[in-house]
Amino acid sequence: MAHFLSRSFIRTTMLLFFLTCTFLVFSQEDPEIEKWMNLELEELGKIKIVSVSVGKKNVSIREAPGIISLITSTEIENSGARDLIDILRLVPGFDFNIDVESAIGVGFRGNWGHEGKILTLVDGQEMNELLYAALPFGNHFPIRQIDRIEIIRGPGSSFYGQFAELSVINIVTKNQPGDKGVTISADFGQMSQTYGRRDINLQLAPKIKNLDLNLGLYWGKGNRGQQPYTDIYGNSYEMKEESGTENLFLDLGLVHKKTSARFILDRYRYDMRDGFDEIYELPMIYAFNSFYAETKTEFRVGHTLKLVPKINYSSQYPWNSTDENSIAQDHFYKVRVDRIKFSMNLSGDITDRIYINGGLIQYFDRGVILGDTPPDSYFNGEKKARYSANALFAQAFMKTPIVVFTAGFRYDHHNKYGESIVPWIGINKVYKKLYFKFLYGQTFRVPSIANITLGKDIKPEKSNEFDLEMGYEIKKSMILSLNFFTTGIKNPIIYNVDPVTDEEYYENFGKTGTWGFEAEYLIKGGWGSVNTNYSFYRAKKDKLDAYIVEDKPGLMLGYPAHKFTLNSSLQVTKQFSVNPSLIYYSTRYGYTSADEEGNLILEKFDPVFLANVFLYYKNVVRGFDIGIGVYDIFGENYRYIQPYAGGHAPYPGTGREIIFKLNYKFK
Amino acid sequence: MNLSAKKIISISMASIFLMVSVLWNIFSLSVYGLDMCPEKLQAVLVLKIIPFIKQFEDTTKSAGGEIKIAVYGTNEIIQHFEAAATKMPFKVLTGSISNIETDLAGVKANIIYIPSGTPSTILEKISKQAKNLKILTVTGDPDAALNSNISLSFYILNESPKILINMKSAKEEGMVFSSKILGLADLRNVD
Repeated sequence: MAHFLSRSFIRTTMLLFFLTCTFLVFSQEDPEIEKWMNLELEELGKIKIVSVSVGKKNVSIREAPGIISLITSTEIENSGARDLIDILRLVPGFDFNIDVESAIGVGFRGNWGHEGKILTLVDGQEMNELLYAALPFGNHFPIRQIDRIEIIRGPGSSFYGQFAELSVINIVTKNQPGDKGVTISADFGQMSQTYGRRDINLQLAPKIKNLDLNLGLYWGKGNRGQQPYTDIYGNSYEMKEESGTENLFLDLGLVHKKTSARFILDRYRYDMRDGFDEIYELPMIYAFNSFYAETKTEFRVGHTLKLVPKINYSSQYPWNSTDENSIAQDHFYKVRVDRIKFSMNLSGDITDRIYINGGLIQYFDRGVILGDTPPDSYFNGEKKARYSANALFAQAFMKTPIVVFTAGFRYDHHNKYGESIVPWIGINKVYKKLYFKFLYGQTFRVPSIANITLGKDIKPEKSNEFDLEMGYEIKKSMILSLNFFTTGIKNPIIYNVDPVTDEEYYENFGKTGTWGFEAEYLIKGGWGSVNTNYSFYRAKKDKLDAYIVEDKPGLMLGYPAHKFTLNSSLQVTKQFSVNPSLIYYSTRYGYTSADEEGNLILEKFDPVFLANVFLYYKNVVRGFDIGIGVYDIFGENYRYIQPYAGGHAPYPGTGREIIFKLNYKFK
Repeated sequence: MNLSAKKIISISMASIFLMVSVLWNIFSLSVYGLDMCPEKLQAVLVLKIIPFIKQFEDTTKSAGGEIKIAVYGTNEIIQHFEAAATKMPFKVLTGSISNIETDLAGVKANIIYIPSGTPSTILEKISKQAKNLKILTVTGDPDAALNSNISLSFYILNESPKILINMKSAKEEGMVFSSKILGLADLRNVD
């Protein structure tokens, strides 16, 4: 298997692919048209046309130039998902692990993506904080407000820019024009010793003359676990008392004709006692408070082109610890990072066969150290850091008689670390019930503010990505797809501590990456749906020691080589559904303790089998839905492993949790 | 290029002011800017709507009934019409035309489809000719339907397709839509 994706194999595959495409001709039998022709006009008006990852060109997932997973609000509701972790775990390649200081982060295809390699957007706003480019998960973000999640399982740098190196999680909420009425919902989760979550959610969508107003308001409290956490030195604390989370999320959208504005307030905080390696004596409150604003409008240029000028502003207070215990333990930290971004995007059909999408971006970043934050946390001894950058991107989709050819690039110029350019190409072909996708390109992850200020001549890290996907519609609403990938990351931005001076720093060092494949089988019908997928990866040869499992060269720390998921919904009656879901993780490895000399000790983690079930009854009375379920039925107590040799012990997850959900929609 | 906080604030304020000025102007203009529907789906929608137009009712119900769709210029939608037509109970003939004056009358088309990107001068010519010949005009560009007096179009709203009917134009072409379609569609230029 190690040579499965050797260069000669890739060349042969590409050659075969092109030869296959050459022999294929345009067919009049189109499964999508066939499917739509079987629908009534009313049903056609409800189908969802998915936007591709690289623009607003409306094409189906099969035609989109990327490996894309789409999760709809119905799937989220039926699954009984508690938070984003539950949803994304069901997507091929995605997984969660622990960073430091109780921050649970996302990884993809065996690669740790928490710090700036995976971009998460909510209604177009970039949620990764600008200081370290991280984003903590765990009862964070209102899943009740989600309309759909479009996930690009692959790079998105050329369109989404700096933090879209491995993947893009694009969350679109229901707070859009068109949604009407008022919705109130409440979710409760109970573990055996403490509560898992208590969330309430409100959505309003009034229309005042030509102004569409959409408001989503969410407030939730939760506990991340109830097992004791034990650091690598053997010290413990009870998580049931010291792992709380709290999130206030407000999302306001205003739309007047083609002009819109959006404001998002995200106040997320959690209890932190685990630190980097050794636990603290007292728990502290870690806060990630962010505010986002956007305004944009749209002009027509000629008949088919759209010009969208846009201004984005964000102000974030990430990793802030300012409470009494933080002061008492000399851990006070208060920092603010701001960004103002101006962009201009031009897109549209320039002929009936060519679609273009391009734009110019300019942004200004600023970091400010506040309050009594100690000088060792300053930006190179300064209380302020300022940077600016310009970017240019362009992409084109060309329909040829044989295939759809796509190509694009992005050029960035940063005032500190200079220029970077990433090109990519893609070829798609839909032939009867078959489709093929081939993508090859470069992608990057740019340094964040802290990466620069703590960096040693830091540069953007770059990846080479190759993806090949094939899918087949076995019969109506039954699709099988298989994709191969290889991701090679050059000079990744690595955090390190100088063993002599004890000084922390970032540097570009070595190579890392994975290759593997993912398979997905989806079947839908009036009886419900079943979605199963399997993910496999192997570490590349030139891997970094900090990420790999010693004596298991194909494995990355914290990530199972095999993941199997099943997400199903069985429609018992028109209103009542039973929704079982399963996730299987193969053996994982992680550091759990240290010997007397401080050397980390590796431990093998047995396979985990997370089984969940959710019973959902819609319209018990008009507009009122109710659901009850159990997550982690077998009490597997999944533990989040640190996916690098950083000295943090595995962090216990929630364990078995009974969930109860209520939803009421006023028309 | 390190900018001072004052400069950032100044640039931000200037930009916001500029944006507000632009928005102010935008609000006072009638800008539509609707998102276009994929051609494949347009083809399906056109064929699905045909039986609900009074003028085509008899043709679509009678055995051997035939609807002729002319497409202005060469466009991929012809293939989509042909693919979708195989599922219709009536016969659909599609073809491309380039000369509005002669071809449109010559082929005795029931419907003329005008692809997006067609210049407005051509659109207006087609619209005028179609109104004389009582032919239904359809376009892939919803803005053109409103600006150039075309009867039927489609757009995407909240990721779902929406039918757009320019009622004034449809009336001039002698087209009467059933109440079912009128209930589903976004009706514009209603008398």
